[in-house]
Amino acid sequence: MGSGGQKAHEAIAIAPATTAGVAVEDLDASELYEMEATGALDDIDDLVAQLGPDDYDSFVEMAESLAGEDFELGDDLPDHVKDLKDTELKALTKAYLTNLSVPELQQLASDHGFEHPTLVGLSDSDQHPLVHWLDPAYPDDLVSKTKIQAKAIERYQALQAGETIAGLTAADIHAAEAGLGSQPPGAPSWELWDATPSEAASAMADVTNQASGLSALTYSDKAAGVAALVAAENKLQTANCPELGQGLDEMKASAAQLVTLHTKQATIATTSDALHEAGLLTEPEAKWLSPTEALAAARYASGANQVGDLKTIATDRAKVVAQLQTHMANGIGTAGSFTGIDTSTTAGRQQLLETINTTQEAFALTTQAHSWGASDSSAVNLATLHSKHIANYAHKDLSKDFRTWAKTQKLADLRAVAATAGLADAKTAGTRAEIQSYLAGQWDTTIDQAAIEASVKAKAAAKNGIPATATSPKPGAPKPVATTPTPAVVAASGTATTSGPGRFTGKLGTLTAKLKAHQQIVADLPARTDSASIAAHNWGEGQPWSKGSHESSLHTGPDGSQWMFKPDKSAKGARAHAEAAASDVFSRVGVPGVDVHVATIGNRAGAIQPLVHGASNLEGTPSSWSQADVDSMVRLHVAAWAVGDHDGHTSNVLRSPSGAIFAVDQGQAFKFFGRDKLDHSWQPTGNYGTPVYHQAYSAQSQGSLGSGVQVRAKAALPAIKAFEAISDTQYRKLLTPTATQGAKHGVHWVEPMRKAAQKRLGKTKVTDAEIADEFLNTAVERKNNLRTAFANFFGGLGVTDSQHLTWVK
Amino acid sequence: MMATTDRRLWWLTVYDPETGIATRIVGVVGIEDGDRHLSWMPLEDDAARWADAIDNVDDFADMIAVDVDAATTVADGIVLGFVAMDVPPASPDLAGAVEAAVDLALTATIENGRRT
Repeated sequence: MGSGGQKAHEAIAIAPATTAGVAVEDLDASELYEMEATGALDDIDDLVAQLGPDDYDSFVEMAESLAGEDFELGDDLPDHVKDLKDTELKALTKAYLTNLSVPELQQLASDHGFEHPTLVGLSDSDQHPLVHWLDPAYPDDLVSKTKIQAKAIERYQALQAGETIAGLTAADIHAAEAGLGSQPPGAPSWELWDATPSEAASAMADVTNQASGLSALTYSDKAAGVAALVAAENKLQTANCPELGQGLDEMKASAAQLVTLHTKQATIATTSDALHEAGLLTEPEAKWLSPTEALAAARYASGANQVGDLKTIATDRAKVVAQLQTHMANGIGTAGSFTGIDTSTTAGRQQLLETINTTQEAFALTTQAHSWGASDSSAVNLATLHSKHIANYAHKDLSKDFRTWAKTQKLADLRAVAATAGLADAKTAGTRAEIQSYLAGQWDTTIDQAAIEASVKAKAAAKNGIPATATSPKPGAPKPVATTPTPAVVAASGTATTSGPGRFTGKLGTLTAKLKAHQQIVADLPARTDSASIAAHNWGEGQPWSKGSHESSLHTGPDGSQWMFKPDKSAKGARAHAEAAASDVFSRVGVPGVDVHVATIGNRAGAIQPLVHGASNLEGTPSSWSQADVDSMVRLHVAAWAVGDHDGHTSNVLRSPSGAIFAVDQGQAFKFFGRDKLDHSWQPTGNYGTPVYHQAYSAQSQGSLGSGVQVRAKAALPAIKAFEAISDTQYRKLLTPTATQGAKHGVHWVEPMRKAAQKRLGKTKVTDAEIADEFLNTAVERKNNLRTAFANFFGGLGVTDSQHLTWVK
Repeated sequence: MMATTDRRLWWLTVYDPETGIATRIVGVVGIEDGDRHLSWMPLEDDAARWADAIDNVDDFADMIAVDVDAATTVADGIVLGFVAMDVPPASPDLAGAVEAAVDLALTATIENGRRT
């Protein structure tokens, strides 16, 4: 199959390459080996060493993000593969934290709620306990983390009781930790102080006086009064007076109760500003916390955890506002944001997609900002924010402006963008109104996206003449052509360029994307059916599926699903054997492909394969391919070369519904054996389209692969190793039907094999068996030479890690 | 900062009554000039009971002299072992040295937890 561009596929039938474990295991083993062998982890360590405490939040985000990825990966992956990501993350976070100074660790720990961070890490050990306590790769509630905090508190209590540890007294610890604080710069220091009993009593009296005077203040002075009361309370709460013992604790509890009671009615809109002016809050805290939240953040009695959480909230909100301001400055959320976009070009379509995505983000951020106000309706600063930002620019108003602009664009171009945005069948169905609404629905929550999707799906089904519930392509109908990756793939590739502290984040992102891609293909494709089930199954007469030169019929398979049978009329079953053998080979070496078997139905031999719905053609633009895509293509090339298939153009490489790529149609398998070359410039005469891997290699040399994406020889290693794991005997046995049937029916490869056999045997005439044996010799030799052949091939292309294939076993 | 010459520290370990194998470090004890400082690993529920057993050891140093064979059955068949440290962590005082050793144990017993 695949002999020309005029012909379309009768069906898309796909199956997993192998069990999930083998493919993923090999890939990741290679990845890990490569990282260790090449010192890549050392490089990352060097990079991490340049980072400072300010980068800590990035690590926390990364850890949280990757933990989420774990969930998405599901249970199909073996534990040791899941552990890979975990292991690498831990190596990075530990390297980062170990490089921080002790004061930096103490400050970070204090900022994140650790009590008395100066009281752990008393040994000269290389690993400070706070390195573990801060490590975001480990869960916060881990017992070993809890122990560290418990020990610090225990030691502090011992000091309070008058003991000394390492020559330090409680006063020393107060002094050492006074400078730490748990606040960002600009916030009150809450310096702990040693009080005499009379000083403590005086502080308590001040709290009482401030509290009782609060109700007498005028409205305009009330906020300042609250701030003064909080300052007085903090003074008492931070006092240390061993002489008073438990009496001081009772005093503090009483003061806290008093302040809570008096500030409850006195907290007003301007309280936040007053707390800031009194030096009890930073400006962002005063601005982005509600007055109630601000009051809690300003009180030492709230406890380090609550105060820390509130400060984090304030910081996060400030970031949201900054993002909104950037979007505002760029005109996002206004009709003008679409002006000038020309979707007739690839760049224009990409620009529209990005604008839509950014608009969606801006509205989401605005919704988020609204929720802050909901927590306290008197949040005047939030109200100010809302009036200045796009929240008042209603979703549907923008949708209206967008539609006006979209009418100036070609529908086909909008369809392409909608397809990329996730609207299945957008390329072939749906009205202009539906396409436009679907795009507007990315930000406009008043638009019913599900209804549009259902409508378009129904129209596509009707157009194809099949019930709406079935999505198999109609015989002869062209495969849908995607111009950009599916959303899942955008997400996967995007992970690699996630903002964060540089290359190591990208490294993890790449790894995550790779694991995800494998998980996707495993989830999408049905399990491979064993040959015995195929042979034993009664296929029945079936239903005609297509006629003519590409005749096929539909049958119920052993698993109850629909299978497609293609009689091999011209080669009398020889080609079906070749295609089935190629499918088996792909499966064994972990390259996803079609699950093809040989069957005889109605006295006709042919190929039979299960139908799988929802796949689409691979986008033909290398610039949009992710690293996971290109790596998959490299492995596909290895398998394709081994079976002599040179027909892997974009119509024969599909995307699964989740976005992973896989090969279909090995109808040309072994066809050019004896004539073909592992050469970037070699292509069989008459073949339509350039194989996707050669497209990727060309794009690499032209610099037109996506940002950060490259052809990596090491990606071939798992497939090569899998081939090497197949014994020669096993491989010969696997290909024997192909060899004998091919020789018997005089298929395309017979002539070069005949000549080779004649030369090898020194005879002018050879039997079919000798030709078949020559074929098997050639196949085994090719299998065993893959490593050297691809090392040379990639070396010739200038791929930088081509030597990887020769020294990584 | 050098430790004084008569300062000695021991890891306290517990032995599984079934197998007789030391299962974990549960604390650190040190002696110096007749003083004793004992620090348990946090969250050891049986620490108080074990502490009583240690307090009942009259000549602590003599018992310790036999190193890892020094052990005492404290309760429920649990055996508390004493493993001498060749080079105690440096600290200006005994408490500091013992607590520094506890810190070492804290970082040596990190669990292999996964963030979820």
